Amino acid sequence: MKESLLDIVCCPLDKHDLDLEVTEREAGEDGEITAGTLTCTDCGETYPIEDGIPNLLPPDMRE
Amino acid sequence: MFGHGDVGFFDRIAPLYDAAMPPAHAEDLRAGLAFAHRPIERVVDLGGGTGRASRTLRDLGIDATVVDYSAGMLRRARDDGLAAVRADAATLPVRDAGVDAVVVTDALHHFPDPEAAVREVARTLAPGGVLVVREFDPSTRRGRALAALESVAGMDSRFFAADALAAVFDDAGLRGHVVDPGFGYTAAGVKPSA
Repeated sequence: MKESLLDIVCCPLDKHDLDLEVTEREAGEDGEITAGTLTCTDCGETYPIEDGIPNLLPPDMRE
Repeated sequence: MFGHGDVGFFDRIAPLYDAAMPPAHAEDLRAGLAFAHRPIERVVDLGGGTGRASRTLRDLGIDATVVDYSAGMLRRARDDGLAAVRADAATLPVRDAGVDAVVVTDALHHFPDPEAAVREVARTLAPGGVLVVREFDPSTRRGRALAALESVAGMDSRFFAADALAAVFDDAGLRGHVVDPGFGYTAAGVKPSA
């Protein structure tokens, strides 16, 4: 995912902002984020980014 | 409607007219998006799966974000260079008034709670933004056949007639329009400007 995605996404539960933590990024200046975590600034719920795709399902809907 | 007087909007969509596209599909989306009262920049392709509609939008110069419940479908979208987000349509992780348009192409009948999804979309649309839905009308002869087929196939599909869907849009606070009626129809719901 690109960092600019944060301009439109939010926490699915309370719709507050998400903090991004990057653990893996593609090479290059505008390398996309391939792994990391999004954390809600309000409720603290964390959402994983896997293979460049943020999983923003409510926690009770994850497998 | 049709963005009268909004020069910026028409400047933006002008290239669409010249694009060599699979005609029906691009034209359907373009006709729905033309109901917007604002420039179309931030777009969510809801229930977008592998990104079929997003690829069409990309050809029209619009970078959409594919939002889907299915991780497998999304991987294919991402492998094609599209932005992808895994989410539930009734609990959308999209900011209030955060997008200019949401498109739902041949997918609404698969949503478990389509009314809740439309309400969520209404929340995420900026004033003047538009929801564009491509669906199949079960009140047509071919629509009845399709609904029966999906039912036999074990799908929980629920189809709305075009007028009924426009009413769902109205209930969610959008101004509903049937753009192009028929077996495969286009409906648009416009978020009122303040």
